[in-house]
Amino acid sequence: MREHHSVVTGLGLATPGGLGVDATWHQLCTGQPTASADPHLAGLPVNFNCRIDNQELAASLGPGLRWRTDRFIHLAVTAAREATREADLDPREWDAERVAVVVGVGGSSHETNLHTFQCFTAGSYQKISPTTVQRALPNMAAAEIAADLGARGPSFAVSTACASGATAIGIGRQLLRADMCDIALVGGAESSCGPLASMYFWRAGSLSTRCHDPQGASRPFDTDRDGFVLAEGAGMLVLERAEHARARGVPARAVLSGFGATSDAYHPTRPHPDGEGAVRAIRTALADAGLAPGDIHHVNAHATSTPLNDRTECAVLHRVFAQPPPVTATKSILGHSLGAAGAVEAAVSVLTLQHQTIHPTANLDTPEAGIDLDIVVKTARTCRIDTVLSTSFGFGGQNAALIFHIP
Amino acid sequence: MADQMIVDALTTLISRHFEMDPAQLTPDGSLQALGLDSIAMAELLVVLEEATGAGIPLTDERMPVGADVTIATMADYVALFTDESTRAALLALTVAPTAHADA
Repeated sequence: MREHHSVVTGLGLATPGGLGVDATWHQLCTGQPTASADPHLAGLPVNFNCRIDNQELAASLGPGLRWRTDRFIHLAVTAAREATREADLDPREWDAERVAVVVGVGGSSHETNLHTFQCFTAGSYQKISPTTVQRALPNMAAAEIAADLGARGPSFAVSTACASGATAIGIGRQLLRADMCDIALVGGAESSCGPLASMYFWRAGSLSTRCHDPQGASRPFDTDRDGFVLAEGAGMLVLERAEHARARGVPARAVLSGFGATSDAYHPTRPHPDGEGAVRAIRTALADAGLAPGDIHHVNAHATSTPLNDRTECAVLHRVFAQPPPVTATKSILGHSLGAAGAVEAAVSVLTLQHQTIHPTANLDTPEAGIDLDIVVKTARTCRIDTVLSTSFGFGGQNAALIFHIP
Repeated sequence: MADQMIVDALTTLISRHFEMDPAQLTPDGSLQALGLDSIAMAELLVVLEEATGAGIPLTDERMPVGADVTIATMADYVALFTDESTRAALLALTVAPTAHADA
């Protein structure tokens, strides 16, 4: 292990699969999609999504935060608490000024803004909540985690649309390398699956409209896929330099050995037809990790279930790998949590290494002609996995690739 | 002496909206000391308006501030803007708890 590599010592997840790492991993291994009709979307052209149980989240979060912060922050704080606990960190004892927080957020607070606009257009200015600013600023997920746990090093948001969570993890690792902190709480959080956000993405042509069959709607690589399914969630990781974790006597769950970030500089929403930026992100991550393509044992793909993304991603994997390793698509089960997705999938990649198990991709009944990948379907596959590549591609042509390997 | 009915209504509203244990809330205790800052008091007036229809200004010079903010002083302030229909809505608050709206 190269000393400048950072290790993952804690994971936290809040996903439609459940609150917590164990609940989410269990859901993924069942292969059962979490999408369902949402009463808040009744009557809209897209009326389903993947969401987290309100009562369970409130009970987990406890009092004090809900009245003044938005849901993406609730998810972020919940996941950060779990990750910290799992890393055996006690915030009362850590060197607070050496703890950083970096949280990826794609968009935030659409529904808060909707309510505010309604008050505004009605002339009911006094009904606009004084908490609107602190609810809706994207940096507040990192700020509230810092306040909740007592982390007084650098903290900020990173935004690369659907790659935000992965980019935040990579940037957090760079803070460790630059010796700007000893511990980095990194990840992503987003809750943009309400009525307004759903209409935004529907109008962009991004969403599946399979309203008669929500469970079958997220079907990456399948010939009948028609778009992604909006979800909410958060994933947080605790990163430390390997020697720091060793000195604490805490086992590494995985090594974050590679990070690559590139831009297509091509189109606001369409991926580059050759996947040029995505290929470079993966190759950069491989070079960073000191690995050859053949060293990668598994790919947790971005795989959104949009016609264009999955086709392009397949081509990208064939350009990078002579023979692409087994692939899975977490979004087939948890939906697409946008700015959180890259972090959720990074955490899932670490769990894949720990369990030596690849969770199945749901709904892949008939792969699209030309998609010739070894995609794990139906049941989880147990096999030797030393290295995982996790890919994330955001609107704006912003790409991120992360490589984890076993400690 | 603050109006007891308004004190009870504000206690209910504060404990519900800010998810606080009612046992923490006494009429003369500082709300600031419980972490309820000026933003929280402005929020309380928004929530009060939603619940009762009472439009209570945030910028009036009689609005208590800082360490003087207690349920009793807020009740005195609210009473300045309370008519019969608002009183009925406030009374309803003290007897009929409603589900907390999800953020």
